[in-house]
Amino acid sequence: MNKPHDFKPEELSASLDGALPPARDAQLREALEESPELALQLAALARVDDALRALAASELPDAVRNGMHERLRARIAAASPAGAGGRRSPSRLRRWRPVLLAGAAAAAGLAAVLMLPRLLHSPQPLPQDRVVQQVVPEPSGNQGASQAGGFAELVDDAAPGGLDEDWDTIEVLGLLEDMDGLEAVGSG
Amino acid sequence: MDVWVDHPVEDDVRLMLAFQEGDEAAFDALFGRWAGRLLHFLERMVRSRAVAEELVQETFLRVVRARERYTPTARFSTWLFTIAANTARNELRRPFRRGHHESIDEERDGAPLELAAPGPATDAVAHTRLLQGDVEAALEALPPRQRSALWLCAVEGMAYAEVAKALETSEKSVKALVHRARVALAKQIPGAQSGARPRRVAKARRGMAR
Repeated sequence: MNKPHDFKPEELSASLDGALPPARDAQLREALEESPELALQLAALARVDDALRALAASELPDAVRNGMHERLRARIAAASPAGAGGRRSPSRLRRWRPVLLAGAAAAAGLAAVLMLPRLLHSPQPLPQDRVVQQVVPEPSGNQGASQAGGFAELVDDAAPGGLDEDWDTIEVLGLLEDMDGLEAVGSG
Repeated sequence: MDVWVDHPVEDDVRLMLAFQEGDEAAFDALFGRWAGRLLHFLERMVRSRAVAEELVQETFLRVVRARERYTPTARFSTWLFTIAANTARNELRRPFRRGHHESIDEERDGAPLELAAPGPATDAVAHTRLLQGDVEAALEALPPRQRSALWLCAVEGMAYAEVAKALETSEKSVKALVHRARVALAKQIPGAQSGARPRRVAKARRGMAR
């Protein structure tokens, strides 16, 4: 038989929490029947729990609950446009990705259509000496010399693999120079 | 809604998993189930209704943020109260916190606590008429760790291991905290010293909750 003093106060508390080993709990039950003092001690602890549960038993007013819920919703909305539920909304870039991809594909297709004829009939890279010959005017004046310098710069910058627009510009300018020369010959 | 309704554990887990999948109604249901109990717990921790309401929101805000990481390895309530306890702990650590100020490490009475010798039996009705204010005052006099440990054990029916997880301490420490808190309250609540049949409510409640 277990006497009351065999039980530590912590064990009484643990018995209320269901944390006493079953064998020890059975011993406690026996002891409680034989010791009113031990029963009073346990009852005192149990009444503490009852008092606490009575505090928590008060019903939460709907107004309080709803108020908290509304404020929480506002905080969630402020933190994430997606709201509480749902996975995170795709970012703006992710949402527009299909449109961007379609646009990029269309642009690439248009560029291909525009560039294809040029690629098929691309002018032969002008030899350096020919270009210079085309663009350098007759050494007839200072003005022409200055222009020649400018054109020469274009030719130099138009390295292989450079922009086709540069080649076009050079050709047009060369034609203009030729026309000027023809006119000069005609007038002369 | 009655805050004392014990919900099946699997319902909470199911709702949380549904919320993970984007079901906002599930989140609202969880809030409806647990907001009141969290408020009671947090109010006792921070001793301010207004601050407790803010912390309830903060707790659920953290639930929203952590939903991707939730795994149903433990009871939902354990996970929820762990978050709530952390928010309360952070609040109590604030140097100029709203409302009361106290140290969470405050343990004013380091002497071993013993149960008061049972005095003359008082009228049993006295206990039922005990003002809630008296209990609140006695509870407030406890160090926060004792308060939270006792509340989670006695009111929420959590096991020592669950409370230890929520309070980031050991089971042994929880056992000591709960016992000391009970003894301290038993000394301060007159009705608690009246003789009565011991009841195993907590054990019964835990059985219901599981």
